[in-house]
Amino acid sequence: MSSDVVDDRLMAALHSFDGTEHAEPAGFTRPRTAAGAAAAVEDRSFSIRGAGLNYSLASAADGHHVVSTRELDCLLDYDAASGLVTAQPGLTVGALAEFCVSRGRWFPVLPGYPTITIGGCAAMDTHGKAQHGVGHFHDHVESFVLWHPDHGELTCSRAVRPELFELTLGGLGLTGLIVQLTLRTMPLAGELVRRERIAVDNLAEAADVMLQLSSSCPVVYAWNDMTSPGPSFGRGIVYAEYPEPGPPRLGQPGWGRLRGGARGRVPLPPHTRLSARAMARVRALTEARRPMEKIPVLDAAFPISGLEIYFHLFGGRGFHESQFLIPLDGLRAHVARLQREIAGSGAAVTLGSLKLFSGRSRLLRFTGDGLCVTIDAPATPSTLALFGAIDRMAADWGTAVNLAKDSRLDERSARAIFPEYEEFALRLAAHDPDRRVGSVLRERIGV
Amino acid sequence: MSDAPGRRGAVVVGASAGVGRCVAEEFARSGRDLVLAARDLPALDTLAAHLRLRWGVEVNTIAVDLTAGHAEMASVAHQCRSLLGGRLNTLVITSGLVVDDDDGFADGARVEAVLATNLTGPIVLASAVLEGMLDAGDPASVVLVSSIAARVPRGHNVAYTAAKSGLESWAASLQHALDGTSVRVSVVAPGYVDTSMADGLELRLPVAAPEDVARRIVNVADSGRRFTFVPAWWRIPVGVLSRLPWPLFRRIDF
Repeated sequence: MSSDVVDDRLMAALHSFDGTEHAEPAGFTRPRTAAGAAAAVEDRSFSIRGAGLNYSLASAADGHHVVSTRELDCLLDYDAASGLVTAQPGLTVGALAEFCVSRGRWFPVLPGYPTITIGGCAAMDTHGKAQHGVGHFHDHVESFVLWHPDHGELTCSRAVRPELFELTLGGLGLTGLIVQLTLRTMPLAGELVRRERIAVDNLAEAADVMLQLSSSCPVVYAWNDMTSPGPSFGRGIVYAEYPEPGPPRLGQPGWGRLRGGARGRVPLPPHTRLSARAMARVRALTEARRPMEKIPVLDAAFPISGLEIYFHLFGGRGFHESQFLIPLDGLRAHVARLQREIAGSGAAVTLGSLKLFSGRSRLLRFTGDGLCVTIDAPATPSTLALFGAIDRMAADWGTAVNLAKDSRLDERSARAIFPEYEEFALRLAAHDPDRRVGSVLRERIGV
Repeated sequence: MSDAPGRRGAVVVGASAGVGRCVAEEFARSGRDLVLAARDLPALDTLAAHLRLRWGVEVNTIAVDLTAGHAEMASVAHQCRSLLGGRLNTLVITSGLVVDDDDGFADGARVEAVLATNLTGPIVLASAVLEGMLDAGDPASVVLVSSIAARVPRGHNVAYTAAKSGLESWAASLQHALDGTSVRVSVVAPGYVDTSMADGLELRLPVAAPEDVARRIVNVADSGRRFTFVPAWWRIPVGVLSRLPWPLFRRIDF
């Protein structure tokens, strides 16, 4: 028996990275070609799985065959004149970034962990820390080849099949298997990053400082203590990163230890407000010791690498994350509303962070203008209540939430938040009328 | 072909998938020129192009079927020597085959395939390559990938376990026979690894990343350490299980 296709045995359940969703797949394949995927899938329904690190379960569904891109992970071509890189979907962003640095290039939109795949980035249309300046992942995709059992292999770009190009980038992995991606790289501005830290007294001040810096600083983001009460709500650190010259360095060996399914094995009690507050104080004290540092660009790009313990501390019960946009108009009132909701919910918020966003919301992508707020909390009823309130706020504001991060947003909320929800659903149905590609995420939001 | 002084070369058998792919990447990262061998030549060719592009090393590919017999293995060894010349100083065989119904009563043809892929093929191929290494007289290393299963035979993966046990026995004999020569033979026994072999399984103990296992294999190739569990903590459960009295061991289903 080939070791490529594992089938006809009792499959263990797959879980979302946050630990709150699960599915029992019908089988697994690790194809090395699109033809291999086609042969394994045959006439079955299937899901596409990269690293399995998406917080919501976008890569598995009950009774679906999982097509893993773990061995579709090669660089295919590099054009030094244009800076275009072509690679298979399972190539990790860490490997992509390393390759770029070795050629004096850079890919400007990188999620915070090196083992996330470029196929996953395309499916979720990820953003990095500099979204306000460089946009989203889709802005840096030149073209891709997409395989779907009904259509075969389709080349897509802004000029060729532009509608399918748009539907797929941020299409939650539901249009088929991307078998290769061509990405636009840019010249590397510096092999080092000078990271400066600016202490801020509250969330509104953090936003003000970030806006001031954004015109001169390519990368601005913030960590905020969402447990601090009253006028100190959201106090924290604004990070400003500037490129600096220096010797190029490869990524760390053993870079990235998080894998889908590896989190949550240790049973631990859920975080409380007390433990969340303690974590925030420890972080504040740690950060205060380093007002400025110079680090290799690869280390700066993946700040979560080395901090995996944070996710393990949620234990088997897991956590939820909500990532949403707050409009800059009326920011202080919106922040006050958020503060009231957090305080009233009793949720133990373990992480708060900010980024600046600009752009136009489209289909189900997490794009738009405003302050991108990220909140983590353990998977408890009070967290669900808080995040339900955030859904209502986003709908009131006319802003987006990030479906990649949110493993509890339902169809009703998705319809209320995304004005182009119906368009996405119709276009997806036209492309995949028999719903060959599925996921728990797809079923939950009802597209 | 570059025979530049100091350049090292490695042959990785089973390089199209799993740990073998990662071993190839680790060797390329360290600047070794490579010959990749496996049945799936298109997958090897794609990987080879990736390694050349990413690491700038010389990579050649050979199709090999470990069940094909000694003449084929001799031919593969000859091709490896031709392609790498004086740089051929490391051989890693990661190939493995597991079949679902390997419970002691599997179909004879499937048992033969399991034994050939996991035992006789690697032995015959390694012997052929070793001959050239000894003739060259330079420091060289052969690493064979076994499994924790080899130390704890049980009612599952019966032929697979027998094959890996036999492979370890052969390696131990070679270590004795080659003592005092320039060639070292090593065995690496991984536990659960995140490859297609583990897909879909409910595993009670942690699963290692194939990249981590590959790094350990490359370290062993350089150090010549005779036997290594990967991760190292597997020596504890394996040690306990292998020493359990029969009345207790027979009750365990794993």
